[in-house]
Amino acid sequence: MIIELFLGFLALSLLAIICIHKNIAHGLGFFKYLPIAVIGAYFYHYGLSSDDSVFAWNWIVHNNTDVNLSIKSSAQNLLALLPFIIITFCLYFFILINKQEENKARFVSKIFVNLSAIILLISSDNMFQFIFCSCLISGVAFFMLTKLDEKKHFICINVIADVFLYVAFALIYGQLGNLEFINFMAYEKYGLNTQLVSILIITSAVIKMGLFIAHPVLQKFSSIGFNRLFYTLYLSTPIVGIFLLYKTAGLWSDVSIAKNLLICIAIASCLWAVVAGVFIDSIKRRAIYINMIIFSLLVFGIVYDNKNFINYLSSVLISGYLINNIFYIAHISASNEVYVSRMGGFYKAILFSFCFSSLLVLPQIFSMVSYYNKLWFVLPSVCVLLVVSHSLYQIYFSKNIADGRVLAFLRNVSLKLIVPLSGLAIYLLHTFDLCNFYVVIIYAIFLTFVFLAPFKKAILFAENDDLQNRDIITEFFNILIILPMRIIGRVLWLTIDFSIIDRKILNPFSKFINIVIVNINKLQSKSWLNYLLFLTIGLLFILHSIKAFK
Amino acid sequence: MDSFFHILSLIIVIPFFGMIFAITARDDGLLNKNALNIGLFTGIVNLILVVRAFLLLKIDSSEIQLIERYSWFKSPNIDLVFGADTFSMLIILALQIAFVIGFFWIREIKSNKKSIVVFSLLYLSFLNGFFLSNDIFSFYFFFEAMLLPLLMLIGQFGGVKKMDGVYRFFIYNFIGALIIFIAFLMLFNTQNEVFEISAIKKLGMSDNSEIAIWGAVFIAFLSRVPIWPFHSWMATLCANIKNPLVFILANIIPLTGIYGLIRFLPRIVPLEMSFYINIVEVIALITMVIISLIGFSNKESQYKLFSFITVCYIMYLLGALHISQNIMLNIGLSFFSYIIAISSLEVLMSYISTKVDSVNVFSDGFLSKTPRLSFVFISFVFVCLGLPISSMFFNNFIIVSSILKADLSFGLIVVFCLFIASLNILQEYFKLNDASKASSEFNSSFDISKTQFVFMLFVLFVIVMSFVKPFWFVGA
Repeated sequence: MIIELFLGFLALSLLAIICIHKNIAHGLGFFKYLPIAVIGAYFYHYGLSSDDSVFAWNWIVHNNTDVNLSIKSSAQNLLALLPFIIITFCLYFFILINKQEENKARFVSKIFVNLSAIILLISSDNMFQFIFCSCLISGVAFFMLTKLDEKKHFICINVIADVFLYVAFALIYGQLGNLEFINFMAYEKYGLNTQLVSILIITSAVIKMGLFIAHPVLQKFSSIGFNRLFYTLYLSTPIVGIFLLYKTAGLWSDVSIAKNLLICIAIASCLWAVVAGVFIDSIKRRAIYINMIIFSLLVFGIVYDNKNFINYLSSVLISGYLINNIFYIAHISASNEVYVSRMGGFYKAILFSFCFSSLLVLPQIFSMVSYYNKLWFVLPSVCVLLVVSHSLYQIYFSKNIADGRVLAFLRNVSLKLIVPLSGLAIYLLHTFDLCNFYVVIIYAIFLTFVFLAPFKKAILFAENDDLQNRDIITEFFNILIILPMRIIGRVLWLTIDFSIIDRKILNPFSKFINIVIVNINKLQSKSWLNYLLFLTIGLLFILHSIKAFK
Repeated sequence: MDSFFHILSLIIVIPFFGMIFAITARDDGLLNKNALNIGLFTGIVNLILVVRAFLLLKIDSSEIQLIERYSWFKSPNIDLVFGADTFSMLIILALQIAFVIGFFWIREIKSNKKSIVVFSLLYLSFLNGFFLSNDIFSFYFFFEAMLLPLLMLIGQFGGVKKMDGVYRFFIYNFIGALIIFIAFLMLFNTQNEVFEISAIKKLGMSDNSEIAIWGAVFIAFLSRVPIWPFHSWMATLCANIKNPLVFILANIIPLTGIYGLIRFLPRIVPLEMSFYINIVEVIALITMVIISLIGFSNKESQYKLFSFITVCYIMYLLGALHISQNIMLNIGLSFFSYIIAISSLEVLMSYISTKVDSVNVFSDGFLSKTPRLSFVFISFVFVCLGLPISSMFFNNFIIVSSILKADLSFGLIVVFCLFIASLNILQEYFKLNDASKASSEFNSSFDISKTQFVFMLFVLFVIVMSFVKPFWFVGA
């Protein structure tokens, strides 16, 4: 079942590559919407049923350890895969309808390869397959990014995360002698360095997810288009981080220091994202901060309710994606404007966009109400709603300071966006099967926040360059790590290579050889008596040696 | 003779015959296509022979196989014995591919290619002999003989402006050669005959002579591995060699040192020496840190590549010092991709350097104007980073895992250095791809040709296949 999906997505990717050639693409234009129809038909027919079959390819045999690539068609895996398929196809549709999107065929090809890699990642039952998928997903994202600066930060931070993961898995392999996740519990009980391994895994996951301290990297992507941004946030390395935590929970969940560290990071991420989400002017960066809270929520889910994690993965991710689309809608409506400080008072011109946007928070509110007894679920949800309410106020109700061009071209959200997003929202609301008084109250509070705007003074900081653009964490990283490394490298070169080896060892050695040569030269006086003397000495030496050997 | 078909001898002899053909090739102007084609053809023929030899090997076995024995002298008794196991054959296969890559890319260089081809083939012949020799005499002979053509190549055609580096190369390797000569003489004296390397463990030696012999063997092999203070010659050379083929050939020298250690040390090192092994490990580690950090602060692309090459070599050395039969094959498989990847990166860097020199500007941003070159360059950088597209990925994992298991803090420093060294290569890629700094002189005509692109894609294919199924070429 899942293997069919895997192969299908790979085939779609190949088809998209073929479409890169314009002549062929023209002929294949008819197939554009076919993938959506096929995947729709697939889920309509099969739903989430599965046959528990396992496809396994015996890859490498090392020291009697089989390294397999396996794809298991279990209900659990299919459920975990669902949000990614939904978001991918949503993105696919938006790519098709977005006239400004460049290199569409390449983009589509990459998102389907990425989806295939996600299938492998979710199905992975050994470390090797997991690292392989992690690197594959990072690689696809690397080629997806267009600007060098983004690529540089992305690859560097992911290499760091992969190195942590690599060391952790190498330590586990060194002791267990196998690569299966299922044996991680045994490592937790009997293994050495469990604290170190747990911290390495958690650090790697935090970096991949872009949570607190590692968040500046995802912020660098605020210059890419919304479709690519959503791809990076919801389909790329952050999900590797989440599944890393989920699959290795058996190891770190009983290590108190690791667990506490993770909780602290998740709390700090939520707080940082709320503050930054209110003060930062760029709507793309706000979308990234919303994502930071969403992933913190997922981290809480893994820490506190690991067994049911897959059940709410879908709702959390899709509601997060829907909320992020509020910014996308504002962006499109305002002629691709990015800064909130250059928006405001749009409600008169695009009231429908506001109404539709404000409805997109409903799935988040529904899930919050349905998990009301779980504080860890409610708190991040409140953070998300705070940032969204503040943003909606600034975009639609604050003082209008947009320039004439933006105002002249303001337009309501198009039907092409409404249909898929409404479909997603209705699907989610349907799954909650709940409509009670609390939903109404929370939604009313949310709207009150939108109209009253408790943080309206935050707009004053829009012009503060330090607050908006300064990246203190990267600066600290550069000052505390990069700069000392460069200085040490330079000093080592000057001292070890130049002063010690060159001046103290090689130069004296070279001088010594010169002296020897000069003195030997002096001995050669060119007279035949001199040569005779040396010949005699040589002869005596040979005779003495022969005698000694006998 | 244990094997009917003397395939190992042929692998040694064919480059030698190729060399003779190259010497007698008709001069055809500056391009020297005749000699170059002979070199390329010889490399490909040898490549096919090596694949054929692989088909005769039992890949799962760690024993020396395909043994070929030639009796030379009766008194003293000197038998030349050649043999191979999967480990040595993997290295030989990678070397043939590296040579073919080098021969393919020196077409663009305007220098006396006939002489380059002649000395390269001679070097290849000696190298193959070294990796296949199984007795101490031929082992010593090839260990020393390979230095002569290499010295000629570096001195005459390397494009090294500072002859200082060439002198260092000669001094270090010559001293190493003298030391191993003394060690092998002492070994010879114990039996008064030449014996197979595997027989050394059965020799009865006094404690003092044992320490003296192994100490000498140790120093001799280490003089070829760029660990402190021996790294100096390689650093100077690598930062200065302009010819890609010569760079590839010079960078094989450390491999011979590590191979020597792997062949000699694991099974036979006396207990007294283990203390000294610890010292070597510490020195190797310090070298790793020094080289990786200097590479990080250094702006020369050649030095960055050198720092990566050296750090990897030392990692393999540490793996070799912790060696068990279990990971020997892993080291071989990793070496396979590593040699091909660094050879490919070097030819690409050299190509960029040649093009940039022709317009006399900085190389920054070159790749941003050359999409084909950019693609193959980043692919090889990814291989060097250890991403899952080559056999380095899984096998380095196993090697690092064994080092970490032996000593955690030690292993962590190794990983740190590997990371920094990989970043050095990555830094170079980003510098070359920075469109904002690209000279206006650069344009798409600077890109590699379609033939070169396809050739490099094929090399990439070989590397990727080593990840998918390491022994795909023999159907295992």
